[in-house]
Amino acid sequence: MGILTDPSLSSNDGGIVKVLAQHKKKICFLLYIASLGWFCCLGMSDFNHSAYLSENALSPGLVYTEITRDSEKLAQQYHTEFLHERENHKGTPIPWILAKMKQIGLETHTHNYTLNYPFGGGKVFTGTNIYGILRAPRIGSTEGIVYSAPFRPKDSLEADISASIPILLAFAESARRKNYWAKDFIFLVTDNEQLGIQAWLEAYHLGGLQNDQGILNSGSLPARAGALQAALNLEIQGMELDYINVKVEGLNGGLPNLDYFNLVQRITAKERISAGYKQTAGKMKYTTHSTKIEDNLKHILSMILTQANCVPTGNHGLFHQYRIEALTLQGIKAKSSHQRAGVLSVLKSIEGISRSLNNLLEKFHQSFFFYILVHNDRFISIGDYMPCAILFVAVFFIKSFLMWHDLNKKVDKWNDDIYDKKCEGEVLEIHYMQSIVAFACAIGLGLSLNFVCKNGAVSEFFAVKFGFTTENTVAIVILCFVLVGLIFPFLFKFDELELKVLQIGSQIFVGCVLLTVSLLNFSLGFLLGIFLTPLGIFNEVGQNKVMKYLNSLYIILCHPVLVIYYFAVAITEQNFDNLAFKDFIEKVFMAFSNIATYGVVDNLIYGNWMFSITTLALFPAWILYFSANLRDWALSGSSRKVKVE
Amino acid sequence: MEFSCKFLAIFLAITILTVTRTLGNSNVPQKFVDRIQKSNHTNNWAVLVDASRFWFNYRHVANVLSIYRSVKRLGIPDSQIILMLADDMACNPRNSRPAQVFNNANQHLNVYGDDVEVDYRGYDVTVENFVRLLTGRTVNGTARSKKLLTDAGSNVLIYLTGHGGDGFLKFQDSEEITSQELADAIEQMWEKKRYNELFFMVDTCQAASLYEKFTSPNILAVASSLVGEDSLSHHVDPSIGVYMIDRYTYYALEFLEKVQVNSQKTMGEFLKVCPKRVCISTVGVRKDLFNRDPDKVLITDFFGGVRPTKILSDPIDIEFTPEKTFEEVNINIPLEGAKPSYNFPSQFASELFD
Repeated sequence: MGILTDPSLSSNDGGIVKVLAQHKKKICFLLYIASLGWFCCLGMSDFNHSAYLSENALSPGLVYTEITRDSEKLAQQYHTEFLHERENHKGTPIPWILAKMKQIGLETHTHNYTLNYPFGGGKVFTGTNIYGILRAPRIGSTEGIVYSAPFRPKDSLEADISASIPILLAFAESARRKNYWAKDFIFLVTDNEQLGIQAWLEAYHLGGLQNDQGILNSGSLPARAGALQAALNLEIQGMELDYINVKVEGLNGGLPNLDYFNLVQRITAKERISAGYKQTAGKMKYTTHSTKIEDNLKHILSMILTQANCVPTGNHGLFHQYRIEALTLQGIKAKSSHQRAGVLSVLKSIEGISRSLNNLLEKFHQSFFFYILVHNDRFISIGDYMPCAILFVAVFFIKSFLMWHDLNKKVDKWNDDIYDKKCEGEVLEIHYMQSIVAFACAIGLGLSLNFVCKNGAVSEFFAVKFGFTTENTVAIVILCFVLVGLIFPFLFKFDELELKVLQIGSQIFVGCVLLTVSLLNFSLGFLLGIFLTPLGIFNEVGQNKVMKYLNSLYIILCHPVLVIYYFAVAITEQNFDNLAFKDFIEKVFMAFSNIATYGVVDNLIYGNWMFSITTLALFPAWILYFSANLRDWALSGSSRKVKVE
Repeated sequence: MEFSCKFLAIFLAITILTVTRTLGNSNVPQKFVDRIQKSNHTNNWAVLVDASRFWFNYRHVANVLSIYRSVKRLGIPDSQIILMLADDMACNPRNSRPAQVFNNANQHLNVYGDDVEVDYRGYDVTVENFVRLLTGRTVNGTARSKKLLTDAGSNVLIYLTGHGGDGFLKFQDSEEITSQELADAIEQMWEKKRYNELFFMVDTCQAASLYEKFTSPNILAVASSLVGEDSLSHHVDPSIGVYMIDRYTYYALEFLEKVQVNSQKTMGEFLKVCPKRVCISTVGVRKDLFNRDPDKVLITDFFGGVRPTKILSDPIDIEFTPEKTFEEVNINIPLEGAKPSYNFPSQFASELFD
């Protein structure tokens, strides 16, 4: 607190502090509005940049594609065989894929993994990945690129992507015959959606190092191919495609290097495929560029909403945690007579992308890792969008600084008074102890919620004793903790000073959390900022009654659990219409417990932050704000009583 | 008296001036004028440097190898060519034509043939090594093939290519030589009598900045672009997937390919090979340090290894003088009667310590 207690800043005649203190509410509100305004400005073309490739080595599109109609025919043949295999066998057609890879001439291996489901009372799932390595013919196996295609069973709820594996194999077959690869290629077929790729990546990077007793036992791999530099995931829905949707968002809002995305854009444009981020059927290449600010903002918001939930949009998203640049090409099946891109152009695009990736001399290190796409060919860099988050955070720090300043003045006065009365050398200090204990307790509550939810033993206990499902257990545990949070303020009796110290602590805590989150995942940080900043503005001891009411209402509405609940309501209403009230409530509760359970499971298996942020930061922060507000009511009540007497 | 002296001096000066002027204009026989324009070098050397590495800089290696091929074809022997290649494109795993380097998409000519002698390769190509090479201050034990063994009669061609900026040329990916360092190195060459005339040729971005600081005499310099300009590549070979050659070198090479050993083409013509129309960048030329008129300098003075040969038809009388023995040469005062005795000085000057 050296800066905050600096006498040059906090002296009474310090001009800036005076002005700040006088207009703090206006200034904070202005900052909030400025942040939103800045965000709206991001849609303007002056605030975003046109895309460019900054990595020289990629040199996209300098080569003729060498892939021919033969490969297309081969892909079609593989596709027919694959459909037949999938029809006749349950699960991944492992022998067929192995046979094809061996026939092509790849070094082929399988990888088994086990998931010890944390809440299942010893439930165990297993899965198998298959991969083939094409060794670079004229260089050591020090670098690699992954081409992956997920296997989806026929009865999967997700879209059918039966063409991915045939196209992957056809590309492998053509790549096998070339002499110019400078990196090992890994052709990977995974199962169980994201679980398979997570297990494979863990085995690739930590194989044999991690604890076998963990939740996901990913084992080790029989063969590797050096440091992975990039990955391309294929989700091709059919042999005739309408357009390609490029998916970039990864786990916890990670993104691939912008150069990679731009490279894909260049190559697909060269092959005359309509492709892009959040591509839709109506959107044609080259006509997407619009200078309309509303369209731009809509596009930005759609990306922000996708990125903010921290869940990867495809298998590519799990590569980002190992800093492997990855994205998914999602080929959307053409409706009849509407074909725009055939297998050949897809194969050519993959080849073009590979030739460029092959030219890489080191990991992607240029261009941007943090960005927001405005269009396929326009983006906002971190330097341009960060002011939004910083303006939000500024509110918290300015407020806490002024409170601290105020407090110091008061304490000084207090000390002076006492100094006058008492003998020299004895200086009274404020007792923060209770504030610190309250702060620690709130954080501890969050920690224990986190621990209890993630602990399989708890859910097992409930399951055995009362026959609850995992989802119900998680929901009940959360509700219990929410109740404790509501009782929390009544456990402490703060005087005004302690309350202020508590408020300063919570302001700084939320400010830091917000800053950190927005640096790592701007979308999430920005959305949190929109909701949390008003809390920071209103949070103050001794304001008028209307403000206090508003503040209380806002705090209660902003409870993290309530926010999840809103989402649950929204989802339920979207999915089921015309439900009776009782059914509706039931469905909402189910949706809520599902969201919570997925949060916990994602956190345990993949390391998704969402659950941690909610339990360790947002929940304690809410408790602190709530207590401060409640005690503020109590204080003002008691002071009024004093006056009356 | 004083006044008349001054007047006389002025009069004398004017007469001398007019006399010399008239002499210069007409009275000097043409053969003397030509004599001055003739090179009097006795040997030719070439220092060819590709300073940049990485696969996407394939064109720089192709540039250098093209010039190498030309000077070698025109008669400079491998022993007098110092070839520096910062990267090995021929063996790059991305090269779809292994062990070959082409300078044109038609792939008619493999410039990395069987008889290419690379003197400095890979990470040996550093600023330090380049400056040591030019100034002759090579590290003890440096192979003879890695030394620039020039003398006061040498015409030296220095060709540099890579990525440059205003006042520097990047070497590898980590260091650069500045124009001042380059000028200092060449000044040292002049002071150490390591060249007769020097032709300095650069193909990089902002190439003209590299010769700006030169002060040493007898240098003719040409650069592919002026300060503030980029030098551009000529074309792509889509089967290899890289840019093949830079524009300036491409047109220079087009010219050089037509030059034969006995060619009468001049440096003046060579300086004009790449007009802005085709080069896009403006070619910079610096002639002020050069004494001769480039239009009268044969291109083979720098690019060829041809020395003027005089054929004599008359027999020459070669007289053999009897050789003197070692003793006769070395001992001036023969001691009469006594045989000369030789003393070897002791290996260690131990008498000093006794």
